[in-house]
Amino acid sequence: MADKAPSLIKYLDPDAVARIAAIGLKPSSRVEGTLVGNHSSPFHGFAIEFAGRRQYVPGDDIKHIDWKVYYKSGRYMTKQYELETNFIAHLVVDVSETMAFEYKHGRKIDYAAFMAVALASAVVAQTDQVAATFFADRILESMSPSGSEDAVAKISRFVAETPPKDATAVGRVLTHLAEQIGRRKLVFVISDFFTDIRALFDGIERLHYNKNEVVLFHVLDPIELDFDIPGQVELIELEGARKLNLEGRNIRESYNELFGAYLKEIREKARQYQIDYIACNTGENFGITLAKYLNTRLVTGGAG
Amino acid sequence: MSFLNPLALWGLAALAVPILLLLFLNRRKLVIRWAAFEWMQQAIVKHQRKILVTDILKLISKLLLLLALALMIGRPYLTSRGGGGRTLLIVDVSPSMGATLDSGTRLERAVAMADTFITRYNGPVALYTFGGELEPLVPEFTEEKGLLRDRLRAIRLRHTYGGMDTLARQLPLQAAYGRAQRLVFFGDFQASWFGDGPRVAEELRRLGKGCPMTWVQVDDRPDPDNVAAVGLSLSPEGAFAGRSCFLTATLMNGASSRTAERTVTVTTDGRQASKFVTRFETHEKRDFSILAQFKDPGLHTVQVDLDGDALLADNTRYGVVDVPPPLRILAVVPFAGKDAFPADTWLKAAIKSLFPADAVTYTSISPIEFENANLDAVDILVTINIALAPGSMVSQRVQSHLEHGGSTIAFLAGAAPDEAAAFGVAGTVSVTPGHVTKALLHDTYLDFMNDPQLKPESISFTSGLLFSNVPPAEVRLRTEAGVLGLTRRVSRGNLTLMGFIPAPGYTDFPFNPNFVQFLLRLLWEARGWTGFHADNGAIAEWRAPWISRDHSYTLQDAKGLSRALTIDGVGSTARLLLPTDLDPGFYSILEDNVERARFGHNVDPGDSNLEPARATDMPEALKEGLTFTTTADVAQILGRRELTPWVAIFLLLAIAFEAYAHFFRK
Repeated sequence: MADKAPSLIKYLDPDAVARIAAIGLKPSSRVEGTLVGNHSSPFHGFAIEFAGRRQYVPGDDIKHIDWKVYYKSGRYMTKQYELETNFIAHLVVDVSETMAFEYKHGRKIDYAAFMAVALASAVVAQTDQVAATFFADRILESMSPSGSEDAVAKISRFVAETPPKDATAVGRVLTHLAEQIGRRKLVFVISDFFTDIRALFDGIERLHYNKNEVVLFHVLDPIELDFDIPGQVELIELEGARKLNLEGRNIRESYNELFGAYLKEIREKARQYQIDYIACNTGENFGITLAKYLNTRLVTGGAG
Repeated sequence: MSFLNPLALWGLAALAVPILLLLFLNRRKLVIRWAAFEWMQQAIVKHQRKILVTDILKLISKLLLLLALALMIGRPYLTSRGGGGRTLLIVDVSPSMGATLDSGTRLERAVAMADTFITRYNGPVALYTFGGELEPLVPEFTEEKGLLRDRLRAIRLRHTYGGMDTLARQLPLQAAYGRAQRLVFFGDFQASWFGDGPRVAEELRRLGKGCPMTWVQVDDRPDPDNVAAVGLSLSPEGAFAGRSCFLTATLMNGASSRTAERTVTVTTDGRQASKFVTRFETHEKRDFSILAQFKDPGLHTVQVDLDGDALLADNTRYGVVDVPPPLRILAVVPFAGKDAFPADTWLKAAIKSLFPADAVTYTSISPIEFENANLDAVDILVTINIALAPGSMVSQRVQSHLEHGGSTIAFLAGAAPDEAAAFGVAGTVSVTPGHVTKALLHDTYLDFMNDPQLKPESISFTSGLLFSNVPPAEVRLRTEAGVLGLTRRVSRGNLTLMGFIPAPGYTDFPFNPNFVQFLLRLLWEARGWTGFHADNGAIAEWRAPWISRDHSYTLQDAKGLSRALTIDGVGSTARLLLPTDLDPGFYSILEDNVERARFGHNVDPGDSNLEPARATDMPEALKEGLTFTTTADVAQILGRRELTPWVAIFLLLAIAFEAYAHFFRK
């Protein structure tokens, strides 16, 4: 099957992309890229930005000897410069069955896909690289880092062609991912996080250990945030076969209370781990949500 | 526990509504594939007990509220057979109580209901009937049920009726009413009784003071078939032997719906004279002209029958036509001269236009001839322009004629005020002879003579005399200027004095219909002849000049059964007292076993509107505390205690509980 033209990318919203590309996306810490780019690298070398001096050792190019220091101190010191590189944004997208939930505002997976495609487009547009990982209870697909627009199309196509299925095991997936992607990457996790919070943050901790910057996009439908359905309702489990019959008016308060506690816990943990946590309401425009986040990030430099 | 509005208990079916709604809502539930299942499950587990209790509380409160509402509208009560108070029972015996029901008549049903009451009621009872008049059957309060039942069984229909006003007038006159603690009236209360609500309320207010009233409607059919013959009369022209005459039958439909075709049969002297079919619109009352002919003078029966409906008694109307023998009139007129018109020209012409040729014998003579005239063969003596001054020959002869029971009509010239003094009547001459004035004739039978279209010579009087000392009962023709005509009984005869003389000569005056009718009345009344004998439900006495204590009188019905009649009064005031319990039909009055009079006795037509009243017809009466019911067991009503206040408290509690369930448990 021939690849579809970029203009036919299903989840591409040009307006949203234009909005966030204008703001730009920068990692909050040093990143380890594979190419020379615009972002600070943890490695020092001989480039443009002066970083400091060190003692000359045999083998160093003598052209980097700082002769002014030699004249003043009689010691051979070589000048060092900061290495600037590109960054690799890892998009980790949940395609488990709970992401297929929809009530009045469309599927959460579609919302997540739009966000992922918009972020990927913005990253590629600033000559950085994007990689993608799709998961449910395991990693279903991994896309290696790429700076081409084709990567954006691939992300969109995968979501479009893969029906959401299976349960979510985001913690385990992030642990595996940490082993694969190495150090100092920017990791965007887009999910509803209907999973064990402790396992989730175990995975995040593992990513942190490798000095990766993690951003959590928590995608939820408004009805999940506030169960405002009066009358009799029958709920069928998305990731199973269980059923619940209830009177919406009666259960609303209890559910909102419990679900609110869960959201609060995630938010607290995110703050504790100093990672960005963005609540995404499918009832709101994802482009605006992203733009708001990136603006905040631009001002604050990110949670981390 | 029973209910005053048992139909309201159908409202209890509303109790099923919340339950059905619950089931219905369960069936129509929304099905959602849900992602955040774990949280929802925890929420249910956490609040399951709370939800269950709230739901049950809400359901119970709704059911209680509906139950309380249904009970409130249903008005529950407890009954006890007690009572004990002195109760005045009245049973309606008016003609309409003869209306038939599915089984028996209204009266039979009323008697049965009263019987039930007497059986079940524990307290003293007095018993009356009302059919235009209150009749005490057991006037003293008693608990002897046997006596009360015996009197009850003896109740018969009357042929007269009375309305609320009659009852309100008569009831306070009864000793039992003053002592009664409650009043129960069994009757067929008709919608027409309650037409004037405020008046009814006022009468009830008067009656009901300290005496709670219960009216028991014995017939509550919505619109019973109800046609009636409510009138039968002979036209004013009267009837003459061998000549056609006109009778008028008034028939009506009392129902609120159009009738089917009804057959009307007219029977004269026991033979069918005519038969026709007609139809009546809603509440239509119509007059039918019936042409009849009677060959011989004498008394002839006329009967009009409508075919059957719920009340047969008012479907027949009885009347007796009195066809007189040829009328003998003797006129005394002054000699007018050779070329002049006689003074009685107008009278001759009028009689000629009024009567068939063989129905009257008219002779005119001069005053000189009158002195020796044989008055035995004269029914009516007419004097025209002859003075009746005291001591005159004419006056003496007229008085003699009156003493023998003859009748006289005198048209006085008005030449002198004392013209009628011989008969105790004074007068004044007040108008210029030859002229008619509005003051003289305005608003009288002769008012037409003021019509400017008429030629003066056709309508003028030759004179006018106003009588001044006339009792109101004797006035025959009253004008704005004074009394112009009178009739009084003198000795055994009738004397009519008229203070004018119509113009002599050729004139169309005698052919004027108004004048002809006026003259006809004068002649018939002078003769003492009543062309038609029928009553409207009440005939208490019979008056006639021939009644004398020298004879015995009996009343005989059409079947030949006779009852002796009592004479009251003497001489010219003598009258026969008739029984009050006569059934409708023909009756003859026999003098020494020879028929002297006959009449038709009818039910009172005022009671022919059978449409039963409903509680909605009498809001004013109900406000006055009247209890109106169709319940057969009235004793039960009197002994019942309404539980409405308790139900109201129950309702308030249910509302409070609903509020608690709705707000506090939320």
